[in-house]
Amino acid sequence: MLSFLLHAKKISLLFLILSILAVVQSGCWDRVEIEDLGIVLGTGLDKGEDNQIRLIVQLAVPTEMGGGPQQVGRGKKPTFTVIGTGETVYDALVDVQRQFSDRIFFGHNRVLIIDEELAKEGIAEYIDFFVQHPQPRLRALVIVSKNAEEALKTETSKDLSSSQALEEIVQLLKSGIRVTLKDVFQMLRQEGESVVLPWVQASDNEGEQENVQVKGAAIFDGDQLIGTIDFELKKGLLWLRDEMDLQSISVNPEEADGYITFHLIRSKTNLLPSIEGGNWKITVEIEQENEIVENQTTLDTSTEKVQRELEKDLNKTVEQQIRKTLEKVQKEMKTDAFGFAEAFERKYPKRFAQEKDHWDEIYPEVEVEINVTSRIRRIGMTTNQVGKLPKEVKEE
Amino acid sequence: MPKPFKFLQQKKSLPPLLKEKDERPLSHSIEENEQTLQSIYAHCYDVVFRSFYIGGERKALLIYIEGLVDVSEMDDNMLSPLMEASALEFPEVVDLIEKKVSVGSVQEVNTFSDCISEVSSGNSLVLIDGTPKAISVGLTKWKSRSITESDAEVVVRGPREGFIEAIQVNTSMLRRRLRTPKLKLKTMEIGKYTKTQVILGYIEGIAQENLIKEVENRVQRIDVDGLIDSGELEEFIQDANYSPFPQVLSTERPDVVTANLLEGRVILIVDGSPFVLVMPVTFFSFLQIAEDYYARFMIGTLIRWLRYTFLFISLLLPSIYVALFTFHQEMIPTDLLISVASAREQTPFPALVEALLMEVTFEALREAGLRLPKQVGAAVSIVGALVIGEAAVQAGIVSSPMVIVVALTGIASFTIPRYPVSISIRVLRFPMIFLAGTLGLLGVIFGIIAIVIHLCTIRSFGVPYLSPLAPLHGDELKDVLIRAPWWTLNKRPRLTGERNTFRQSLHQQQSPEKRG
Amino acid sequence: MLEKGKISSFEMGLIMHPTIISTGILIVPSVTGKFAGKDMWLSPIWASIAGFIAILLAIALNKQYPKQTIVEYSEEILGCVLGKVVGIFIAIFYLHMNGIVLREYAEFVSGNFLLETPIFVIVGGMAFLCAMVVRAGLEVMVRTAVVFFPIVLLLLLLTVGLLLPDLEAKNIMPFMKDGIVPSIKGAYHPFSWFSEFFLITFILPFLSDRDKALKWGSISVLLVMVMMSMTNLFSVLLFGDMTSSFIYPVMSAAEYVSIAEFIEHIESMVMALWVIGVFLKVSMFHYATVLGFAQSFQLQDYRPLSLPLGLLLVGCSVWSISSLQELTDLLPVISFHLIMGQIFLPLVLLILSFIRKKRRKKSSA
Repeated sequence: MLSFLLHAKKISLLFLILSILAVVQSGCWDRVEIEDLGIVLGTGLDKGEDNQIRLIVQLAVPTEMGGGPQQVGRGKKPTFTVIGTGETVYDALVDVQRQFSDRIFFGHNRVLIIDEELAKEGIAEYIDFFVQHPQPRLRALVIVSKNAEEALKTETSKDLSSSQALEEIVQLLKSGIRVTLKDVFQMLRQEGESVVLPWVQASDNEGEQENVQVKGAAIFDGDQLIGTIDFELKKGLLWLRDEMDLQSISVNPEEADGYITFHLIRSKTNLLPSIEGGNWKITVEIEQENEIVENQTTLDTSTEKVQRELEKDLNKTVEQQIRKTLEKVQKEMKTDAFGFAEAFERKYPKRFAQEKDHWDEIYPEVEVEINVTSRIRRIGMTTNQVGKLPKEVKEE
Repeated sequence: MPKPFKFLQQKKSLPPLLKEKDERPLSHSIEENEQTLQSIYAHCYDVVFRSFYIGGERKALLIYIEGLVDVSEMDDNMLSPLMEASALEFPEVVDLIEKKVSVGSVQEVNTFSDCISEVSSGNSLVLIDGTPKAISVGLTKWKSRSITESDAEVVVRGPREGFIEAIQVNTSMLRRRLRTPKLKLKTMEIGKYTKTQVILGYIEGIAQENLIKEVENRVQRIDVDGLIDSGELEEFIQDANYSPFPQVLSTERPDVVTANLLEGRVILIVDGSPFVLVMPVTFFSFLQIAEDYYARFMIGTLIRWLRYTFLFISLLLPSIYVALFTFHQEMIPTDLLISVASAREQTPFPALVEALLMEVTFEALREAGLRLPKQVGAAVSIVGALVIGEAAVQAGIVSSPMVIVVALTGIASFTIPRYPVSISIRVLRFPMIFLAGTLGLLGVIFGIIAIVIHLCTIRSFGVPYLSPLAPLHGDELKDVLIRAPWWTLNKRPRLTGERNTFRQSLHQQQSPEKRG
Repeated sequence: MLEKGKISSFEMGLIMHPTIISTGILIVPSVTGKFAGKDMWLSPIWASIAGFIAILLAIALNKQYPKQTIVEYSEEILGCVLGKVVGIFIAIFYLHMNGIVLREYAEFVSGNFLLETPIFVIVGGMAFLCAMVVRAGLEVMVRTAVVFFPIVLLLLLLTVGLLLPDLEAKNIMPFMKDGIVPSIKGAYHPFSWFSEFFLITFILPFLSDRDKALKWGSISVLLVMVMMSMTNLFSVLLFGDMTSSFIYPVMSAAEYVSIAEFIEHIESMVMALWVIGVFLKVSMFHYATVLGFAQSFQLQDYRPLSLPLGLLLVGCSVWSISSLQELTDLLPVISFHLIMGQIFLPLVLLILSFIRKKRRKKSSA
């Protein structure tokens, strides 16, 4: 008995080693080998039958996508699409998992495409899963499409998967509006503000290269889709939301035939709200800088006078674009896609709090004044159209 | 201090007092002395007993060991003058030696044990009839390796000398570098049979008294029957025994030793070992090399940073790889994840096992390359690299990303300049991989915390191992985080050089003298 | 004295910083956000008052009993029996609080990263490390803090720096919509966090330069205030109104990081570095517990107690709370508990000690 006590240290050491071994043996609880992962690149939500939703999951097939010791033939498709149905997103996900041998992993989900029909009923309830679960990234882009399944299944020429292609298009091309899951969540939270998402469609023209393309923007009221606007109207929307970036503007100057196309370098939009009596008014101040990228006219763009004229034309063009958009969105759709409510709330927090309930009535009546200040910063490499002789602008 | 491995030690060792000494004095009769010595040196063919008569009258006996004595010198400067001298002229032995023997080092010996130690260390011993004394004449000469550059610590710029096995040569190299009587070299002897000479060196006035005393005490208390290399001594005197980290710096370079002496450290030189021990040290001394100080300070700083970075890579890369690819896949860029996933599609092992397997193989390869005869070593490494790098990947046994990781880790471990630390990092890598495989990044952090706690706990001869980082001495970090220019390094490290703070006058940056 | 090591005031300030901030940036921003909304970044500023009060209390008490911790001088102030009760209460108080801290950490890790790993392992590993460092002594603990402090700092700066491109200044407007009151209400929880600065009472007796304690303590409080306010501000700048609907806003912010499509989803990295902060916090609390028990029972050395109490700590954290929901529900109670133990109790002690002193003067006069 005494010798046992003497050996207590030895025994405790043994015990320690055993317990470590036990832990290690049963260990590796959360370990997943990457080859056992079904890497989700994009997800789509479609409306299913009986009030159910269809979850379309696009999974990567690594061996077909790249690298690897032996270049396995590129004949197969690099992605794999699984569709599950269920009452909720997670239900549908379980259904997807049932059909797929690897563990579905949302950590690399890049886009979430929502079907138009589904969006009309409201998106808030479906988006919740993607924010609540720790796996999906908040940075995933949210996109509205006519048919999510089709958009995801479309094979693209350049990129490896349609999800990646969509992400790149939305992110880089001159289409503006880049909305992440976090943004959607945030917009839904903001009183009075409505969600605006990019609107894409798989090209359905026959004979054309199969592709997905950005068509315009989808406008929401609260979390319900109420309409879409095309590419031209979207420009005005972008101006107002101060998201204009990488945009071209073509102007038909009064002094000459043809178009001069500008490339936007930078622009800044300020919404200045004011309330005078019962008159709610927004002054939109836009400052933008442009460079000339194309000149079809005979104008010599190097003179200061021509520049002044062109700047004026630019101002007008931009204003027209905005007016057009306002007409459609503010007057017809009656939805606040521009963040007017936010602007009023910031400047007049108390007044706004009082009138919050009537905002729906006030909004379509808000007067909008537009002041555009354009500057031409660079005129490119030539002063006028190369093929024609320079003509002096007529003196007035 | 817990001793988890106490049970590994011998339970009840007989406490042998090995330092027994034969204190019998020499007798007057030379025959008696000869007999005793003959019996001590029985069956030692290389011990030569040579009787002769001083001046043809007085009997004397010469004892030496063949091969340790310069025989021609002995003949010329000792034997012949003694034989020719007249014994009556010099009745006193001391007189005789002083006047006739033209050899520098001569010593009187009184006891048998001293006789033996003199003979063993290569001196020739002369016993003269009628005196209870022997005379030891220093005519030592043996073959030793020539001074070459150290293989383990190579520099591009800097001295090329390295220590060798012979202790006298080593001390002479130090003396040549520090021409001051303040350089003290105390000699001690360890080992019942080996009687190894150990020299304690320090600079008086810089090194702290209590440090010198502590080192001396620790060394003198050692009671063993043999001491072969300084590595053994290191283990006897270090502070924390159950630590993978070395707490004594061993170096082959005299310039490093000199610099350390000047910073107030103490050195131990062991006869027969080209590695000199320097103490106390901090963790950072193992990450600095001599060349940091010889190269331009900016280069020195950058190289230091590179080394620190690769220290972490060497320790953590495989474990981070395992943690990321089996636990935190969301952190990896999508394209990389997909390409690694496709590479891993056919491999049979989980990443954890793969990492352990590859690391062990790599270590084995390295060890094999190191130990094999030089001609075969190259072949082994080529075969190993080919087999593991190419064929294993081709066959789908391991994935190529893992090969890259292991190779990078291997290279990283070579950037750590001091071999002992490099080994400890290599050892710690394995538990880290294990932790990463069970708990992911959390496990890696657990491992790091444990290592840091350990590093904070150990001390080397009273100096905290992580100083000057922890405890923090801000101004000393300029020789740790960066290599500050020489003209700013005015003070010695605080914990070793407290006695004599300044090593140079201030404002030593010499620019053209201002005129006017 | 039980603790033989000596540390400097600077090092004290250094170890207190991660002790407060590590859990202060985890769950507190969300709770603060519920009350203060977009003004939540103001709350830490009000709350830091607690830090200053706690430090002043600890130093004032220490001036009267320079070589003792609260466990020892409570015995002198309140008498043998009552004092011992208070001493043991304080030790148990810190054990309990530490259990909750440990559980908070474990819930976070197991809820977000290691979903299937048993909580026992996550808690046990951490408790073991903390027990080890406390057993090695105050000096070693402080030294680890010195090594890790830059890492904790780096963690915050890294997250903030990587998020800069995604921040939107308009998110903090309107500023003080409902006046100053919501931000003060939101300060309640951070207030209790700041009161943890009273822990310096367990360090003060072992300082080598006690005159600087106030200076470095205050700097530490200020730094904690700045960093808490900064993280809150950045969460608001990123998430706006939705900050309070995240349970761990700072971690969600880290999840949002994306630089050049290469550095993405760094929350695991942030978690890993943050665990270091938790390690320092739990060690500090554990040190207070162990020292408190050892002093209450007048032991020769506190170190042998560390591992057994570590085991108790694991039990405490596993059984004290059953889930994250319970933790969130209990948070107001916990905060109250913290304020009572670390502000109210020392205040009473201080007043009593003054009265005692006066009486003694009278009797001697």
